[in-house]
Amino acid sequence: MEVKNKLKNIMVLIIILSISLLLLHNINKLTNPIIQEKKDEIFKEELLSIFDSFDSFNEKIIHDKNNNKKNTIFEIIKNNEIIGYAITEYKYGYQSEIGVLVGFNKNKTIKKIKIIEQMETPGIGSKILDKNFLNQFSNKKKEEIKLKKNDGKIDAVTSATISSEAVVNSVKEAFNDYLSYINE
Amino acid sequence: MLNKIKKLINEIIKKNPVFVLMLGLCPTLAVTTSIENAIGMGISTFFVLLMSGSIISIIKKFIPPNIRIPCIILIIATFVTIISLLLQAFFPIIFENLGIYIPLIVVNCIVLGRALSISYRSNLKKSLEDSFIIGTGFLIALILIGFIREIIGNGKIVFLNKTLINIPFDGLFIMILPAGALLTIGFLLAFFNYLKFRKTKI
Repeated sequence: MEVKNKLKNIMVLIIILSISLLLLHNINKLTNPIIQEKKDEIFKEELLSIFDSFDSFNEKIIHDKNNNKKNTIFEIIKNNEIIGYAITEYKYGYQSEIGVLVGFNKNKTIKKIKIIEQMETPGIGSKILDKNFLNQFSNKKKEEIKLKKNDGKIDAVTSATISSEAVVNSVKEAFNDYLSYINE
Repeated sequence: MLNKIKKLINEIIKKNPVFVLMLGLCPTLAVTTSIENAIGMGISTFFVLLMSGSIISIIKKFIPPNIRIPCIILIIATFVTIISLLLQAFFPIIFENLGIYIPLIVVNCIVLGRALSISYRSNLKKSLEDSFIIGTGFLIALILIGFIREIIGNGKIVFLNKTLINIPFDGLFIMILPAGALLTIGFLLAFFNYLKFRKTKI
């Protein structure tokens, strides 16, 4: 009796589980292409806001030999010519992962940066989205990408030093990846 | 018909999960930073309540009482995953804003409590009715709190990229923070209790 009951319980759970899996599998098949499309669209829009216009972009995988990690560099192409590069970098800020998209000119300076992902404290850490903060990075060289307290040229967001530092470090790392890619 | 609607509205007020039953306060406090997020969360919870409530009341005979909780959580989790996939596909911005609170609907005490206390014990009609009342009450409560927090915190109401109301006021930043949520809900509760006990003399 005991065993029979237990078997019955297991059967009920398995039946519910398989029905739910079947349902979810089909819905996932339906929504996955839409989700992917939306993500690509958003990424393209982000790139467009950095490079005002372009025709296409190539994805290239780069390997960082120092800490054994992979990243993707995007070659931005217009009229069959490379007009710049873009790299995304993720770093942990105050309470969330901050994703930064860094666009580079061909002459080893930054064109523009953009925050593509963050969940920092609304109103405090989230002020890293401010144009005043982000525009500071434009046309800077590698040596200048430091907070002012470390003799650099970037003003941190007031009361959000940790978030600002995460952004600065991301940009620095992206710069390293970019330099090692074009020097190869 | 009119009587029925009146009764329904009365039930929605009397059984409001946030202001009367005091259930589901955690997501209420967390997601009501703007009216858009509040509506997204309210509709998601409404959908999960309605679907899981009806399914549970249909198959309750096949669920042995000693494993009812895992079975019910499994059913709720299925619908939560469905709604999160749909949100991701069609309203990616709302999905991003709500973040962790969409998967956490699985253990939302409103959904779980109603499923265990009502849907598991009554027929489809009663279960649907109860889910509708509770879901609508939750949605209204979220919209109310979201409206107050957004208008005081930001000085304007933005819905689907359109500014609906704009007052010449910079915004009291604390209202967007968790403290603002607690303040809002405290004042609202005091107000509703005042309405309730106004007529009774102490």
